[in-house]
Amino acid sequence: MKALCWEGVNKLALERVPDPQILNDQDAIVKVTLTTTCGSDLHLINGFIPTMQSGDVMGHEFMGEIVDVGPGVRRRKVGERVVVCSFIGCGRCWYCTHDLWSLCDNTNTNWELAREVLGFETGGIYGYSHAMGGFKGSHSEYIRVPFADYGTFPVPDGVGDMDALFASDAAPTGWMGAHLGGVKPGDVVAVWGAGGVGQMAARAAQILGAERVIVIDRLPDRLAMAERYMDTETIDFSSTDMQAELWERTGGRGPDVCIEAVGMEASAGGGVPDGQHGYDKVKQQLRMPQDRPIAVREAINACRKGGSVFVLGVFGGMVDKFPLGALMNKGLTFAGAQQHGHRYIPMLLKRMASGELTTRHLATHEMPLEEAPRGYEMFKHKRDGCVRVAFRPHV
Amino acid sequence: MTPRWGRVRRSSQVRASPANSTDHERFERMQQQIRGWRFAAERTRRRRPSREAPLAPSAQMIGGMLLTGCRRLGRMATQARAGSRAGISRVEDIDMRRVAGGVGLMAAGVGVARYLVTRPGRRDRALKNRWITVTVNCSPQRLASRADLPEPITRLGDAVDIRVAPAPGDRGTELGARPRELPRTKIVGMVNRWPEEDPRRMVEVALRQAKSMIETGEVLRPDWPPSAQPAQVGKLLEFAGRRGGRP
Repeated sequence: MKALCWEGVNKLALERVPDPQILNDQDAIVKVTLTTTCGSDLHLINGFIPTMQSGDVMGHEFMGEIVDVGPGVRRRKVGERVVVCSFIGCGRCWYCTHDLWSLCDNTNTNWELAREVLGFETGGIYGYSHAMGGFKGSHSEYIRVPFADYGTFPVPDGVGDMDALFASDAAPTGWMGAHLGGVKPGDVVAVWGAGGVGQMAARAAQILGAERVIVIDRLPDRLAMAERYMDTETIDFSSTDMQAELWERTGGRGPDVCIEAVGMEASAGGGVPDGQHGYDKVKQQLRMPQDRPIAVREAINACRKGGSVFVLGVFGGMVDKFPLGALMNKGLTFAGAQQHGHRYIPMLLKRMASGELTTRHLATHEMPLEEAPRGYEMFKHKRDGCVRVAFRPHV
Repeated sequence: MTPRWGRVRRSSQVRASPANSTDHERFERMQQQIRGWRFAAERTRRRRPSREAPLAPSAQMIGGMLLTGCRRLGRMATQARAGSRAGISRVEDIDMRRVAGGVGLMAAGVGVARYLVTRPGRRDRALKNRWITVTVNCSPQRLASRADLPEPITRLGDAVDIRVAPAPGDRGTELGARPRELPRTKIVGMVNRWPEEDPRRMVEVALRQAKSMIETGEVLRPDWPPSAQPAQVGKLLEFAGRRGGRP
């Protein structure tokens, strides 16, 4: 079958790879209908996530149709239209039974490698390096889905494919940021990053009762999208002193909850010429403490005393100049997680069916899988207002 | 029409596949090895009862490798000079020396890197046969006796000690195991750091598999083949960085 493969730093290619197989009784094979780019893929493409190998299939956010199931699959059947969580959870370890699905104990088949490289292990994830299990990604015609009873979710009839697609990762990740960040009715919430996850976090904060939601980015297209589809306030950090603006808008307190949805390759704005971006980028290129936590620093500094900061953006290693003093002395609650999607996806699909949550606008571009390298180029450089590119492997 | 995925192997077929029999053979080999090491350890202890410095075998191994490498390089250089005198061109002579030097340096670098990464800390030296433990999401009654344990652990037989204890709160049951004996021969450092042959690693793998069997009924198999073109350099780095028998 054809698949989009990682061939090295900044090299992607469409290749022929072996068809997936049912290797465990609880596996299913899913025919991929739609699969999309994700901002965290760029960390792989740019070479900041270790243990990628030439020929690895990319992609982890997808939906499709079940075409085969193993004998141990009880709750799914061939022909069902499903969305698949990007993380793989066994459903029965302590972490899964406590709704911490991305920390599953039994799904990272390369746990030794993960410990060596990262110092810890997470659950498995599709198409996200060998330290995360080495599972083949979804930018392909078919994909093997382990523990299918737990990782696949039937899509209600009223929900279109393009909406359901983002229930795989962007929507549950965003929801988790607002939920575990502790958003309460009346809160002011600031979200760094107006990509797919940031927009979903903003929408989740609204649904959870936030009185005001402020989305921060530097790309006019994305800010306009947040205003149009989520009716949020926005700040373009490239044209203003973002922190001063936040304090002004929040009566000098700062936001109650700050959600970071940017990750390890953050950019700094023109508002505060403090050299953060250049400093972090040089260190990153030298493979020294490698992540650029600019948005995390900003969130900690901007958050109100006693507030909450939640990190949704992906980080892989160490960071530098972490404002621990502000975190401690301001009494902040600081947390982060990879998405525990299994916990939220059924609820999100219901909200999509009721019209409360729409996601299809995130797919600004749609193309066949054959054009995926071009799609990623467009996505990486944010050309043509690109927020997400959705690929159709079976066109 | 036969679907494209109709060619895939069912789990029942997979169980009989060469890949799975390799697993089985590995565990058979592991059990024999652990027993073999016990025998070797007993013999060694009788012969040299005072030998307790855990770092010494590693240091000897690396020293030996470097010494051998130097000897070979010297021999190759001598041969190259002889070849040159016999009429082989000077350019070839220089290239061979460079190649030999590079290989020697690379081997020494890998050896030193592995030594630095894998050497146990001071506190670890006294505790190199710690319990290896996993927490299983089940009640302690579920693991009341050895007979209740799944195959990955029972396959190890009496080569390992096992302990079971309730985890605090609702966290399940702590299942621990460790090899009854660790080898203390001269080659222990080298063997311990070869991942496939490390008894402690084998015990940890068995524990992980047992946990998965108890919790989910199966051990998740990795996607196969892992990628279209495995990177040899990556494999080398991975090997160099392994911690081997480090607890």
